[in-house]
Amino acid sequence: MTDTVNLRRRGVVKFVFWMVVATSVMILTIHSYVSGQMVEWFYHRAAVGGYAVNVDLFKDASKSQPATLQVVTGEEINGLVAIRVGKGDRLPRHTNGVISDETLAKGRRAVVTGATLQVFVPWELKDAKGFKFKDSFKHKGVETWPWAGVWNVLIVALLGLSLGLMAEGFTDMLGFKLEKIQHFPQRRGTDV
Amino acid sequence: MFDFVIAGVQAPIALLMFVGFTVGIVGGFIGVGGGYMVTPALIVFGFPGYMASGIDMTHIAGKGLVSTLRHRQLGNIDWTLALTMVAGTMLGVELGVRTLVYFKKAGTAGIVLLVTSVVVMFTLFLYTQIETRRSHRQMKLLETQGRDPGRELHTSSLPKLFQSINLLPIVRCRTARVVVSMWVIVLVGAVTGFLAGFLGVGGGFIRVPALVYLVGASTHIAVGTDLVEIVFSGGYGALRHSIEGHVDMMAVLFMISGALFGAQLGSIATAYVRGPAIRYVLSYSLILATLGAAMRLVYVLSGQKAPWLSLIAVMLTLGEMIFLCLFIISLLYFARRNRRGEWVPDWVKPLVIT
Amino acid sequence: MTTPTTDTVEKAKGGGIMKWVLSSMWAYWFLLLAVSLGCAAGIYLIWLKGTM
Repeated sequence: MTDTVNLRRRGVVKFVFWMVVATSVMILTIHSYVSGQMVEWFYHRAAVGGYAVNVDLFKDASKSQPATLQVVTGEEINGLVAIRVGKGDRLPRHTNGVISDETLAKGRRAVVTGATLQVFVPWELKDAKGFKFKDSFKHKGVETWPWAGVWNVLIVALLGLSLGLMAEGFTDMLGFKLEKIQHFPQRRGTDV
Repeated sequence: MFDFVIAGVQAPIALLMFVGFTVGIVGGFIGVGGGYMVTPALIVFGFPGYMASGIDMTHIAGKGLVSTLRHRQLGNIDWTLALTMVAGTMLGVELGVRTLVYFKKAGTAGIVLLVTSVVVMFTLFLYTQIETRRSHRQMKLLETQGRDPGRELHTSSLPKLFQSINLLPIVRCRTARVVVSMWVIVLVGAVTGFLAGFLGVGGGFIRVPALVYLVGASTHIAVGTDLVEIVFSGGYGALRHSIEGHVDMMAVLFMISGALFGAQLGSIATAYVRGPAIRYVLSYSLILATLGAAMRLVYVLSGQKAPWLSLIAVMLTLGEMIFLCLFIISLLYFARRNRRGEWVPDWVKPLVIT
Repeated sequence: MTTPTTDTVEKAKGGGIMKWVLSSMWAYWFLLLAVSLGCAAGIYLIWLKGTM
């Protein structure tokens, strides 16, 4: 009886502690995502030379109604503008796509004339669903910040650990004691 | 619906949590990450293929840790076996991811992935199903003779063959009660790790049968030990996929939230069953996943012209997860009924612990 | 000995059919598969039909 009471008490402490840790990790992750921090880490550097753009601003671009972007310089994409980047350059803020020089040279999806860049297709393929998915141009031409990978793994490890220990605390709290499984038949004491 | 800004899709949160929950049950029970089920499901929800792979691998690392902690409590982990295999697994995963990136750049990743997964899964299904049915029959026979079949029985002669390889150093795995060359363990880890990295999965559906049929561990210990590997291979794979830009952390978060509950149920259910029950569920998961992959392959090869093929592939992809969950939950239900002396089907009795 | 009521007989019949299905591993397997594919079809119709 005392064992069960002790188990339950330890279970409560364990459950509450790890629940607080797990909740904090989740809130940190959600905040990091919603505030745009993770998105910036994701669109970190240009993988190819070209023009950094915000693809969400020209979703309805077509051959008959191309989107016209002004080529500017700066650290941030505001509105229908494109900023010249070289391979390996840090991407300006609010960038989520790079129109590569190779694409511009082909001239089918986008062309640059002087200080303007005309785009004839949406750069994010919203019709890419199910098994008919196509690669979205949005993700090509960008490189993720490598340390974001370390951050992801640490978050996932901490979350897994805290949730697992929280679950252990929960079953202890209920007084549900799990015995180790007997994998093999018990050996008799007289065995040589 | 949630707008996954990084993945560039909108998908229902409830479905992601549901997938996490169902695969959590299956993963906790048979020691797999569930990637061969989750990756196609994420593609069905609209995530690009490489994103589906990366999200799945990252969520597997977290979910694997949840299941590992529970299996540690149950005594299902042989740490010597697990830690010996890690180096081989990590090397294998790295090679697998590099191979995937090569095929991705060549534009043939989709077809190659599908063909490889169909061939590997079907072969494993055949062997596991045939061997498990033999074990089930032997256990039934022992029960009718009034003898206790014990927690585990398998009829494969392969473990003796691999344990007879005398390449030094020899490793003694105390929990699994196996004595085998370190190189056998490392090789098992490397091959399964390669397939895991290439297919974007944890590798459990290959590693669990390998641990049982090649190394000679019992199914429960194979499940628990494999989950340790999945944490390492999943974590390393998650790092590589994140660096390549394949991971949307919000999708991972939703899936792990569902997996928390599923993993507990699946892991605890192993305490109620014998080894062949776990191997049955593993073989069913393999054949259903093979059918789903084969449907998708036919759909892709047919030039994506027959929408009914796509519908069948979707139903198989989602249906297999639900089927496996229902089967595991029913085994747990029958096990508890059996313990209370209530009626259970005859085929269930040799599979559950009284 | 009392005669079983109609309800008890009906319950026994229903229970008998269920027991027959459960008694066969293959029948049970197919039952679960049918239920699962049905749920999958439901999920497809509710959430995924318009997106594929």
